[in-house]
Amino acid sequence: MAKENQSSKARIFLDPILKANPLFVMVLGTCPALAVTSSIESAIGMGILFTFVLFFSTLLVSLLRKVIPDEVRTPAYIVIIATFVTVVKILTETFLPALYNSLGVFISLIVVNCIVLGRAEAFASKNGPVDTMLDALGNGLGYAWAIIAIAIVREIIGVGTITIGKIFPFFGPKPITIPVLAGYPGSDIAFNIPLFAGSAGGFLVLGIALAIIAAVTNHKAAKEREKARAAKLAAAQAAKGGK
Amino acid sequence: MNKLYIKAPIVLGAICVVSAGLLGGVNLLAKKFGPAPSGDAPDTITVLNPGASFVSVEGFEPFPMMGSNTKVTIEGIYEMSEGGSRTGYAYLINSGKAVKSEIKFSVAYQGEVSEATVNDLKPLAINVIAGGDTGYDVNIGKLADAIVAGSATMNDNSGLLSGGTKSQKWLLDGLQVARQDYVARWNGQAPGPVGDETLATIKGVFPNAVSYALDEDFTPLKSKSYDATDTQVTATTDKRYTVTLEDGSIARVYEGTGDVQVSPYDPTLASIDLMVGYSGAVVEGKSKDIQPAGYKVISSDFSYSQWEDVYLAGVMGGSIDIDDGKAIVCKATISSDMIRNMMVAMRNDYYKVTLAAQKANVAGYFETMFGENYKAFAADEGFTAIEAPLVSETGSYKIDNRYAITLQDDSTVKVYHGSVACTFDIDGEEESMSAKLYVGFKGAEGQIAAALKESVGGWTNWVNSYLPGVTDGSISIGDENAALNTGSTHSSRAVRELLVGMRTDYLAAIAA
Repeated sequence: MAKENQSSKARIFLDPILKANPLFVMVLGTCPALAVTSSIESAIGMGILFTFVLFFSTLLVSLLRKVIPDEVRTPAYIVIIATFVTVVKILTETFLPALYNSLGVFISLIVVNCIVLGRAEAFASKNGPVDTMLDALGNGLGYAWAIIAIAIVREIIGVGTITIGKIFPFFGPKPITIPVLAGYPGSDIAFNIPLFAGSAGGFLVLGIALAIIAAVTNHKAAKEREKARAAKLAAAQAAKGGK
Repeated sequence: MNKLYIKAPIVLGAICVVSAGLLGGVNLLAKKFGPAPSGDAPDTITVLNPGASFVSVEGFEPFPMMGSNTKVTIEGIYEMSEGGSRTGYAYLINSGKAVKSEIKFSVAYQGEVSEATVNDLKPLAINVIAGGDTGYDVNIGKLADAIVAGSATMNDNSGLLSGGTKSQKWLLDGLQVARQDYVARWNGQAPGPVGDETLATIKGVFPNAVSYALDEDFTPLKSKSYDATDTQVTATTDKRYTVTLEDGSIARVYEGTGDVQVSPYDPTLASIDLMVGYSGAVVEGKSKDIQPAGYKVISSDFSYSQWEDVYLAGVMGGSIDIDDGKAIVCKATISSDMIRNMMVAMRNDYYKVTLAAQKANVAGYFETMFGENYKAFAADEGFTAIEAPLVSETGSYKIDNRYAITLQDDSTVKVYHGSVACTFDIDGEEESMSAKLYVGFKGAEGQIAAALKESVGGWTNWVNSYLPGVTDGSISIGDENAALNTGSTHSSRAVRELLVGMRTDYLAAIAA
């Protein structure tokens, strides 16, 4: 029973990261995923802020789920989410102005991100705080890695280099630029495609990613169906032979 | 039901109150532990150095300056300070054209600098706000990063990346202009615009320009618009400046702008802002002889450069006739055609205003020469300028114009406008003389009716000795020896030859 419970909690945490990824599988939160993925650091920043808002707002919703009347639950959830978004906005503006300027209006728009309101409504309002925290962390990390993956592809192909330290000064005051497809010192050679740094590039990368995931999922599903059919056939034949 | 009506607003209200409290607390924390307030600067400036405070410079007004490649406008200057001490300045810069190619960025410089070390100073940070042409704007960001990192220089074009080099040059222009201001500002000066920007630009056309005045009464000249199926071209000469040159002569400088829209489906325009200068006298009926004296490209984002390298260079060098419509055929035919139409409009205007000014000026000379007897004048259109070397001296004379003067009694006098210059040796020293004269001839034998000096230079004794003599008839211009021993022998000889040349033409004209 305890093992079953543990496995269920692991599923709550892991499913949104892979099998039910909010961006790649559920296709939710695509607007910021296109807008803030032109650089890896912006995507990391958005992932952190999004996870923070999702974690604390769904936790509060879960804690208050028995107190908030059904009739006012949506406005109550929005007030809670908006509060945490505003907290994030104030803190980012004060302590990480570069991130604040980079993400711009998309910090405020987390309020209307369907993943946050969706998890509050679909999960937090029906489950306890522990499960809710796991679900929020899973969804937050799942969304974060998805947008970071898109950003990596876009920055490498679109810009040709990877720049770290412009937003998060972890490596000193000066940003570090790693040449990949362009930007090699003393060389004009550049294989980057600037289109990918623009918004059209965001659509392209997300579209290609969704297509690949759909192809893999469909292939797996077809295999499962094939297996099930074979098992059904074998069972039917065994039953016939038994007669 | 009643219970719900009470519970729902209470819960919602409580959530709102707690939220407000939480936000208030976070706000207080941010104020207490966050960096010092960043003054009145916008985010585009504060992002340059989040730990610093920026306050806009008192009394600052945006001003344009000319970079090596384009016009740069400093839109804002902010004093940067940390811990209450001034550490540098930040600039909001706009360079290039405010359409698709606009380069807008903020840049901060910090630390000690002097004129001697200015080339060693690199920006503390650059924040690219608008990077010009889409697709190449990435290179603007990369170049800015490289300059800040020190792997590229802003002192020359060696650090430019392949793709969008024009926009990158505009970035360098902006950085250099800001740095130029920084050097002065850091060292206690509030330079503002360095000199008169318009005069500096006009000097690009006439390096010997001294002053200028914008002609307020100038009506913009719309030149012919090319409107093919796919391409639309418009050009307007917006401004005309009257420019005084070092030698006191007057020139005109025209500033025109033009746009080319290659396809009706693409709203982006290729544009040019061009100054062209004209100087010198004009001859009535010969407007097509007028050649431009110089030009300055204020900004241009045409894709091809042949309009300047081939067409304009040919026009300026005299190998291309601006009235030849076929001469525009080069790799930049459309833009060359626009330049041609614009310059034809400028030239025609120059002809018109200069001729009118000349006429007004000439009439004044005739009034002086003939006093109340003067009635009217007309230029003799059949006259061709005469130029000849001097026989008796080393030099030459030139007769530019011939006018028919009508006096009050309706008799006519022919007045010539000519100049003479020569050099001669006196006691081992080289001396010179020059003169511009108006001389009127009358009668069948070509007596001098009146003479007036427009300008004289060098040796001038002849003005008070020989000229009055030939004018009142006491000295005959046919007498070669009469010019001798006047205290100005060489000059008088030269003037005599000019007068003889004029009289010869006069006699031929009345005989015809």
